[in-house]
Amino acid sequence: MKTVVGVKTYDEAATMLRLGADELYGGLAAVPNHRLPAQSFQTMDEIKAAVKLTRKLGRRFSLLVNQPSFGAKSRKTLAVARELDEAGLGACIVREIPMLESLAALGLKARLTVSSLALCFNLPAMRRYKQLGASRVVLPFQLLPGEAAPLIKNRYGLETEVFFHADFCCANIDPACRLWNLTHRDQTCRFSYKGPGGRWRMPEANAREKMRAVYGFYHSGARYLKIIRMNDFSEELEVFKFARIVDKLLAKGQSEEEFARLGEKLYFTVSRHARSAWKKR
Amino acid sequence: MKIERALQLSAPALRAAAPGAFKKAGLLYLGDEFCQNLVPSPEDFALALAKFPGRVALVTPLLTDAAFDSVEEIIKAQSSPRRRLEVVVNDLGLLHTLKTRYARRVLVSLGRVFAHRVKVMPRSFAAGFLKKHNVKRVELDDPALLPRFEGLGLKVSFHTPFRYVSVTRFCPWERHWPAGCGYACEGRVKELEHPRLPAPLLLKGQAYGLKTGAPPRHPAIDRLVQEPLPAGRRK
Repeated sequence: MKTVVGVKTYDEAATMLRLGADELYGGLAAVPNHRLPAQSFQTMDEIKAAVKLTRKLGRRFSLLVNQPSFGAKSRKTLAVARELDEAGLGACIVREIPMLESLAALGLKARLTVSSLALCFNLPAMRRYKQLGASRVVLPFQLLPGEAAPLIKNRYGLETEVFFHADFCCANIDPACRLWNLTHRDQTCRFSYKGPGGRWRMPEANAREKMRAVYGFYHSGARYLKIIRMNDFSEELEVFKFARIVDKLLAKGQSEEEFARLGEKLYFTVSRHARSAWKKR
Repeated sequence: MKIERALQLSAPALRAAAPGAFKKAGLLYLGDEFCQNLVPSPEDFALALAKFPGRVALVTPLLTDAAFDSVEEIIKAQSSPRRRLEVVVNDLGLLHTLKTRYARRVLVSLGRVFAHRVKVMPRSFAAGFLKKHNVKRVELDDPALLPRFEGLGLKVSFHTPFRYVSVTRFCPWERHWPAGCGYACEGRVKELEHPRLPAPLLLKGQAYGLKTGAPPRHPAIDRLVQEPLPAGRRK
């Protein structure tokens, strides 16, 4: 599968390209996107340099526009997209329909990708996004391979991208989750709650189930594997390495059971990010 | 203004419901906004029409293609220009399909998950979007959202006593992905406490939420939707 890797500095972009990332994506702190400003490029000059470098190497850089924006911020977003388009931007990753329509109206050379946060769960939704100008859809985190197969094999000419579930998958459906608003400071989805039968945590798929999801996506025909942005780039490098090993295992044609067993072992040995995420549970 | 009373039931709750369980409601909301396993099959919907003397609205969540087909089958079978079916919609694919194929056969209400997407649209865009998709009503459970939908020409159905906060597709009751549902959530609510939260979280179906009090008074609210929380059963 082709790897699509999140970066937040020029150096990270250069490193990932050197290591063989097929595509990059990132946000600009001044443009609303779904991560904290610290997880985005800080200046226009730096992201523009990353876009140019990626383009020079014949690969694609996508700008994240995956958070709602209004008024001046919306205008700023469009201006940034236009300026980066001239520098060789490959695509904009968009969540909300108004922004998708505004970007389509600009007539950029950059393509339009529908963010996983847009929750495209079925072919009619996909067809609608195609009508709105999209050329690729990032499948939602909690859509399973069997459910996603019709979308991956769609006849509308839309590409699909899947997250590297083996490393990360939210317990809840991200854009439909407002747990953060309960305290405005805690990841309440990670709390150890007092439930009727004792301690209770919001469940999520375990490592083996996540590996099965990766296997299923691969065999459903998914060809773009997305790796999330992380605060700690050294952890992201480990996840990238993990993804590359997993991809090689998939290409070897192992059985699902064998792949899940090996993948689970790798999950806890190769990726420090995975280990620390698991410890938090 | 007279406030209409509606009762929300999932498909398995309907199957288990005793005769006379719906006496106080004039309208039945059948389905679920958060889990596609709780949405009625075409057979369930026909059963509801037989059991319930009033109108029945179809309530839908985000839909995979398989669930979409089942929902569309109900719409095809149970709607007509003379007998328009009310459909609560949380999925863009369904919203668009209702507009393009069934506009004269359905009444569209914007569901609680989708409402959070429309609330972040620029206001003029939201007005056009709702009009284009023939949306005449919105489902809300949070009084704070009422001002965000004022002036858009929508009637409001207000849900009590459960205000949804989050939703998952990894079943918290059976601890697996959606396939192979054993309906372990049926008739149960789990109360989850944490010292940093002002009130316990409730787990109902695949949604986490908060228990709410009496509904607010607001001129746009013309319907109250009661979502039963099983009393004294918190396990």
